[in-house]
Amino acid sequence: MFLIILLIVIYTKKQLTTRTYRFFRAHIWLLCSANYLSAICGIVNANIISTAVVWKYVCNVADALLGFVVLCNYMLYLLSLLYMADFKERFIRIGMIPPGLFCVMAITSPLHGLYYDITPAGQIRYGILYYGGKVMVMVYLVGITVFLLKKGSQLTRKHKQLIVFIHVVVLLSYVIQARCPLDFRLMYPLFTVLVFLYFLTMRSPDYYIDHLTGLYNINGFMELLQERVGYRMPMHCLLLRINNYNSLLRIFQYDHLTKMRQNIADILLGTKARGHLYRISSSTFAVICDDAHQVEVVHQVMLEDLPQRWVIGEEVIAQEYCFYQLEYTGDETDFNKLAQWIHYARSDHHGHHEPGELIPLKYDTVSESEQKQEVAHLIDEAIMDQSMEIHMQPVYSLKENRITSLEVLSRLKDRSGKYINPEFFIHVAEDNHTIVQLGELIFRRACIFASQNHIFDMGIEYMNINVSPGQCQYEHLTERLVSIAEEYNIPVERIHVEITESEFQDSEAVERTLAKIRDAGMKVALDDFGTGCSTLLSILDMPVDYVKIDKSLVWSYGAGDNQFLDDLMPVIKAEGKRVIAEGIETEEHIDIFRRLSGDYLQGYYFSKPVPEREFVSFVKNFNHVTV
Amino acid sequence: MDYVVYFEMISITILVIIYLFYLCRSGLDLRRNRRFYVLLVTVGMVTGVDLAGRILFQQVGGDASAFMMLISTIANMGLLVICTELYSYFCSLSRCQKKIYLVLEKIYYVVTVLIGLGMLWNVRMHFLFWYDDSHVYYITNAMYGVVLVEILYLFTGICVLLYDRRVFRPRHQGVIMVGSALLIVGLIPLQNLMPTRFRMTYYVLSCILSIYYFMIHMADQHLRQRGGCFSRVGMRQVVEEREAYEEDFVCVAVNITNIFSIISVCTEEEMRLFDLAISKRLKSIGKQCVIYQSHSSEYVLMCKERKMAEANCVALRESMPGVLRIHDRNISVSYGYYMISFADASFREGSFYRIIAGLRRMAKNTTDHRAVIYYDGQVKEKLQQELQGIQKMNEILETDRENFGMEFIPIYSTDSDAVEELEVESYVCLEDGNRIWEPELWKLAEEKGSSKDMALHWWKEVLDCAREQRIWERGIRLLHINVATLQICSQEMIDQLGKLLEEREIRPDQIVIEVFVDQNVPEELLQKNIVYMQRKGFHVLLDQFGANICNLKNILAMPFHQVKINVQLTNRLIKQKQDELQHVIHMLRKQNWEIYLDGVDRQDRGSMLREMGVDRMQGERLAANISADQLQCFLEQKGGNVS
Repeated sequence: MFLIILLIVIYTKKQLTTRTYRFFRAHIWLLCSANYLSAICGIVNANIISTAVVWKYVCNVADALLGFVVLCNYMLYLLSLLYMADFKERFIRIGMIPPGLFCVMAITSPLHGLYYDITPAGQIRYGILYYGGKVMVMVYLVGITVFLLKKGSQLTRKHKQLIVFIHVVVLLSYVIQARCPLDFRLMYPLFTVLVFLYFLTMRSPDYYIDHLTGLYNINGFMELLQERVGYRMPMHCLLLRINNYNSLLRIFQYDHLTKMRQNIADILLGTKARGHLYRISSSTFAVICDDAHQVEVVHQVMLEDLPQRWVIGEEVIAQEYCFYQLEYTGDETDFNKLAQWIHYARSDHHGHHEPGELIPLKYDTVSESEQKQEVAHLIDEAIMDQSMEIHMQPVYSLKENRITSLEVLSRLKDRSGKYINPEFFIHVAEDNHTIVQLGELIFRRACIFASQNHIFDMGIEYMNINVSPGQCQYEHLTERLVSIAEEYNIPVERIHVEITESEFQDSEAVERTLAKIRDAGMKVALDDFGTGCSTLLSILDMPVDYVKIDKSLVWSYGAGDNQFLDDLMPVIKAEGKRVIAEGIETEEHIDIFRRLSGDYLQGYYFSKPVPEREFVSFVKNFNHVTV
Repeated sequence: MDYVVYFEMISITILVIIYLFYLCRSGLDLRRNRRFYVLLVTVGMVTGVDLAGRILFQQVGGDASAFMMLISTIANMGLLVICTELYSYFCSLSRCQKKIYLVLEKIYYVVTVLIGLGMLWNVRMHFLFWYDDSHVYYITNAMYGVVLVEILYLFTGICVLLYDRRVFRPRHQGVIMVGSALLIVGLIPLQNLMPTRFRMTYYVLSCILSIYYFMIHMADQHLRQRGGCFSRVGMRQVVEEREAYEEDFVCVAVNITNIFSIISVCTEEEMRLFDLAISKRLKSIGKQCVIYQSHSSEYVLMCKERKMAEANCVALRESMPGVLRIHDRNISVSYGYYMISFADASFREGSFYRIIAGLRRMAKNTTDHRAVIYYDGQVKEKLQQELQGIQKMNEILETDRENFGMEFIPIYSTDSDAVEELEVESYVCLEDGNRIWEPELWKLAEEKGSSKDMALHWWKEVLDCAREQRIWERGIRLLHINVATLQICSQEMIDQLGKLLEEREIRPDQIVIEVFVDQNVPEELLQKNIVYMQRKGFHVLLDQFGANICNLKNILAMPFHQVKINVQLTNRLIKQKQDELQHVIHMLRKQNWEIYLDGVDRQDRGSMLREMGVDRMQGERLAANISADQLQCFLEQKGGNVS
């Protein structure tokens, strides 16, 4: 009765069209049938109702056959959890042979009596093959359990525990049933309760249904996608997203937006991809198509049928759609890559797509995130190991005619040993909020270098260390920097902090931090002036002591492309800031800044950024230091 | 053994399994779940007592009448209570708020208690039913009354179910509920009135409860995300119910502000572990709250009272981990927090979600990761204003009526000291009288995704106004219109602007497009479109020079014809730092650009500025802005009456 209820429940709910689910459903059907057949067999074998011998044979054969079918289906179901239930697999074909042989033995048992026999008194007597069959079932159960525990990395711990529990209970009940003198048919009722338990724990269809539209949800979509990747089956998918849905939430009534999405679902149901529809986020739908051509057809249908204005209640909701094409060709593409594509399609992001354009989700959408992943990992490792390579570039003082400071530049290598663009890994660190730890690590390495090499005895007066706007959001930045400097006996007055403006920073927080840094005794330099996000107002408003003119301005001035520096330099100097010019590569550049009353110069003319040892020998040489 | 015993044993087993699952997994905090739980326990207990009674009856043997009487009394009372609970359960399912049904619920409880007492008294007095020495069951007419009461409960329950059929999704759920109620109506007389009492009542009841569980309550339990919290759908259901009953609750939201970075660096398995870790921590902090994952980046703790919410807030800020260790990797997590009560949204679901969307955006953008944003004071005002602004924009786009407010800023020529040009600034007037000015307006339009539509609308209104006022015939040479870079990111938009001018017989060279250069549009695209606009005949001016967040070298290399120096830069330099101002002007002059200076404070600076090389000047203190109503008067004074 309860199995019937379970079946009714399963069939009244929408079911996922995956192999796993089909096997599970078949399992319930088979168990239901086996339960009834087992009851009939029990009645017939116990002679509760008198039947002809032939019917006894038929009942018992059917019971045996159904039992083996249940076993095979169950094995396939468990293998489908690992996406291995493919009849093309040799081991599956081989695995079906023993149950098949036992089935044949059961059918032909009246001839040889090895499986079972019916005595002249009408009693059933089980032969050696009957018990052999039971042993085979137990072996299969144990075998699959071990296999799942070893190879089932995609199963959760809870799932594995449940399967082990079920198998242990089944094996014990086999033993009890075998020892029981009566024809005690315990197995199928027990299976019923276990299936019930399993269904309650794992397999409810509700988990895969979107309750708003009645379509499948992201869980169902991901499960289908995993199956396709597991079996290397191609998949073509059209993703449709309502643009700027988060903004619509703020404007329109939630009920009306709900109605709008239900209407969209209804329109999608009218397309050719009926039955393969998913709502994978608040504002994103997915349509699984047979091939790329159907994706285009469905796309055209949507362009024609999906209105851009919805009149619902008293509100008119106007919006746009984004369309994406996801294609999996059954190759070696990792599931995680596909998941990244889907996350990209699900999220609102700035783009300059044409309205109605079908955007293919390709590698380059994801390759940046793969790179970020890799770099984030390298940064984590560097922070964990407290190992970071730093290079130094000297800064020349026009007045002192020697190297009086240095800029500390962090370096990170990828797995192949190549250096990663510092702007990129700093950006990744800011995104992942590891910038504070990374910044501290770089600062510490710089202090260690300065302390171990006694650089301040070589004519170096200051050390310039970069700090990102992200770090400036950290309210204890100044205290940490001071503390680290003290650890290595570096006077804070020797430290200059270089900051580059960013459009997205909280400018008030940055200014507060810079003011604190200055109060602590350090100096501040505004980096990359002329490019990036620097503004003229920054020179006037920000608490900075130095302005670093970006090399592109220097080069363009030197090449005669413009004369901005003729006017910018006096403004900067009039504000009481000192000027550091970057990108100095020729004598001409030096002359320019001498003429413009620049203060410091930095560039390849003196030295490119070099590792610690090289820098020390360079400075000793340049500043004529004899130690 | 009696076959009914076996059936009842299976019933008990199934009910116990459902009960255990219900306890372990817990459902949404909905009335219907609470009622179902009571029903489950009642049916379980009554079935258990009935089962125990049947088993013991076998042992007691001959002198069993009194024993049977006791068991039957408990069974009949149990059925009565079950019918009462079923009525309450049906009421909670339909969320019926009609007073009559609520009053009936209370009356039914009272009646049930009275009948229950009567049944207990019946054990001695036998005025409802009794067993004779041969264990035959007898009833009196009063028993019919009891049965009628139970049937009445169920029929009223059916009426309540049919009150709002929309609560059943899908529809067949409603059919099954009504059908099951009718089935129970059929069972009651069979159990209570027949001498050979129907013995499978509790088995049938347990089957029915299983169906209810599978159909309705299990769905709730599966509204969980991978982290184990309830999903937004679950939260929606709870909020819906709270709206129906006007019950307050307080939400504390934890927004993971860097979720998209985390998603981009983690695999699916790592994200699952991440969600699990966050949920686990939230559950350990918010023990008395129900936790929902209302968004991919956000978890909400729903608390009953404000005190509890505030305590949870404090605990969250202190305990949420800044770094999670997953698969030997450190994943940094940053948070934003906000708090809101349902009463703040006047118990309206729609308003509640709208406010949450605004608070979520604020929490995402916050840089102070320990601050909690409360929906009050300035935050409330700001959100309400933004919302009103967006709604107003919506109205503008939909209705085509004049809706923008305009003010005109006079621009003086340093040569003639006269107003030769006007700059128009737009705003939207809210219901409370506040105004939202550009560029805030364009930011909201951008957020809504309707920059282009708003721009077109705005241009139409401005040009219509300018044409009606005949500004160019009254001595105004040029009209300056501010645009955001997104509004001119396509040549199609520029063509549309050109078309609008053509329709109104205005020449492009009478218009100055003031562009505030930022990083929303790539420089190459912007440069290309500036050239395109100039070819069409427009004047294009670089606005807010000094405050542009972009590459200075590149911006100065763009093919503008005019530049306007930012008001703040002017303010800083014009009084005490005129040498610096001179340098800035000199630098811009070398580009052969006409120079506009915004932020001039006095008219007598005109000659000085002319010598410096400034062509035009404007400023709040120089001349007050002119409203659209005052424009005609201003123009008449300037250029006379044009008839």
